[in-house]
Amino acid sequence: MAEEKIKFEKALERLEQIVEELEGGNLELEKSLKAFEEGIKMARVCHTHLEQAEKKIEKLVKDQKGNLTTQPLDESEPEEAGQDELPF
Amino acid sequence: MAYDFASTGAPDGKEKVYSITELTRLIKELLEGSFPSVWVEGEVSKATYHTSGHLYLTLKEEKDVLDVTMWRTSLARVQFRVEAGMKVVCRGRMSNYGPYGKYNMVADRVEPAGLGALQIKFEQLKKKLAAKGYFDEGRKRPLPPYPKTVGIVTSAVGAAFKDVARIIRRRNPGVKMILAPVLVEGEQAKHQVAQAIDDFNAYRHVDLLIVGRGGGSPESLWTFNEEIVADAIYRSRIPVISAVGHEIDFTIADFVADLRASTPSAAAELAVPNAADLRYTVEQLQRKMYGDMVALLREQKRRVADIIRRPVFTDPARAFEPNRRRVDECLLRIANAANRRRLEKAQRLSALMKHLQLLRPSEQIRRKMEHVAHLREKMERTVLTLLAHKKQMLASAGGKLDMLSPMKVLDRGYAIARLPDGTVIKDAALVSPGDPLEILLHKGAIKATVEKAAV
Repeated sequence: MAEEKIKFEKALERLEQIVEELEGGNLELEKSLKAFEEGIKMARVCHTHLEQAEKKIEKLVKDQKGNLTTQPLDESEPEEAGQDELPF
Repeated sequence: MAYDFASTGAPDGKEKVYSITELTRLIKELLEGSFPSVWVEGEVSKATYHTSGHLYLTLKEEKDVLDVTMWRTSLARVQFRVEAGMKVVCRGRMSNYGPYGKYNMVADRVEPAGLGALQIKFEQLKKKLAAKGYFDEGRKRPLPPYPKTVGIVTSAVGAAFKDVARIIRRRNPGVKMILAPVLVEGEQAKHQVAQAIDDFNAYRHVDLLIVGRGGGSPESLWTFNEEIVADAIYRSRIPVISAVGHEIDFTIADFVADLRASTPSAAAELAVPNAADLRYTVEQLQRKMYGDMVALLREQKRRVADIIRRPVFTDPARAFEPNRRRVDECLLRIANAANRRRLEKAQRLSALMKHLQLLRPSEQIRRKMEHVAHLREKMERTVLTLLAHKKQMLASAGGKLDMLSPMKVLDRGYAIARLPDGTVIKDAALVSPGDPLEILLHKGAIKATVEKAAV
C-alpha cells in the first residue's frame, strides 16, 4: 500500500502492534528487522497525517444542476460585512 | 346559528323590543354556540385568587381586554400560579354574565404561553420516536476516532460555528471542515437543517457531522425538537454529534444523535482528537520501538559473542577429547569381553574331560568291583556283629536257666516231696497215710512215709 493512502488510524494501530511484537521478543531477528522497518514507515505515515497543513474551511453548496460541491468559506465575511454576531 | 335581527319585527310592523333578560339570553346562546372551545393568548394584567377557590383573570393585549373565569375544579389541575405580567394561553368557552352585562371566558386550562404547549409537543414527539426505536442505544454508532473531514450544520454567523471551527483548528489543523450554513431558528430552520443533513449524506465525503447551535431560549432551540430534523438525523449514514444550546438543554436531536455534546465547543472536542496528543503517542511508540530494537540487537550480539567464546572455537582439539576417551573405553571393553569368553570355554572343556574319564569301561569295572568289595566287607561285618550278639544272648539265657533250676531252690533250704514214680506232690490230697515219699534235699534224699495228710 502506498504510504500516503494509509489511514492514520491504521498506521497508528499497526505501529502499536509492531511495538507489542518487538516487546514480546519472540520474533526472529530477520522478522524483527522487517517489523522495525515497517514501524518506522508507520510512524512516518502518522506524522505526515498530523503535520498536514492547515485545511481551509469549506462550504457545502449546490450548483445549478443541483450537484453538491464545496467552495472555500470566507470566514472573515461576517465581520467585514459589519454584521452583529448573533448569540447562537 | 345565525340571527337575522332585522327579521324579528313585531306583527304590527314596529320593531321588536326585547326585554333585557331576553336579549341577554340570546347573546348567551349566540356566544356559547359560536365559541364552545377556544384558545386565547394574552398577558395577565390582573389575577385574583378568590376565597371561594375560583380564579379571576384579566388578560390584555394592547387596548383590548378579556375577563377569564376559572372555576375551582378546573384550577385544581393548574400546576403553576398565574401572576400579573405573565403571558398565558387559556382554553375555554365564551359566555356572558347578566349582572355585569359583560362577556367573559370560562376557562378550563391555563398554561404559560409558548413553553407549555411546546413542552407537551416535545413529550409527545419524544414518546413517539422512542416507540419507533430512534433512541435505541443499539443503533448508536461509534464515532470515527480520527476524522479527516467534519461536516457542520449550523448558522454561518453564529457563535456556535466560530467555537467549533476554532477548537477543531486548534486541536488538529489538518482536519477539514465543511459548513452547511443554515438558519437555526424560525419557520425555515427545521427544513434547512434536515436538508443539510441529507445533503451531507448525498455528498458523502465527510466522516462525521456536528449538528447544532449555541444557547438560546427554549423556543429558539425548537428547531432541534422537530420531527423532520429527528428523521434526518435518524436516516444519516454519517455519525452525528448533536450540539444544541447549553449543558442543561436537552432536545429531541440529542436523543437521536449518536452522541450528545453539551455545547458546540464540547462537540468539537469530542469530534477531533488533539494532534499534539497523537504526536506524543506516536513519538512514544517510536521511542519504544527503537529501544526494543536496540535491546534486541544487543542481545543477539551478546549471544554471538558468547558462542564464539565457547571452547569449541577457542581450542577445537579439546572437542575430540571426550570422544577419544570413549574410543579407548570401547577398545578396553572389547578386550575384556574376549578374555572372559576364552576363560569360560577352557573351564567348560575341563569339565567335559572329567565327565568323559568317568565314562571309560575299565573305570566302570573298577568301580563295580570296588562296590562288590565294599558289599562283602559290609556283609562280614554284619555277620560278626550278629554272632557276637547271639553269644551274648546265650550267656544271659544260661544265667537265667541256672536261676530257675530246682536244685538252686533246694540250695536255699526248700525240699521237694515226690512219689516214688517221681510225681512231685503239690497237693496234700494227693496222698494218703502210709504212702511212701521221697524227699529231695539240697544234699541227698530222705525216704519217708505219709503219716497224715492234712488238708
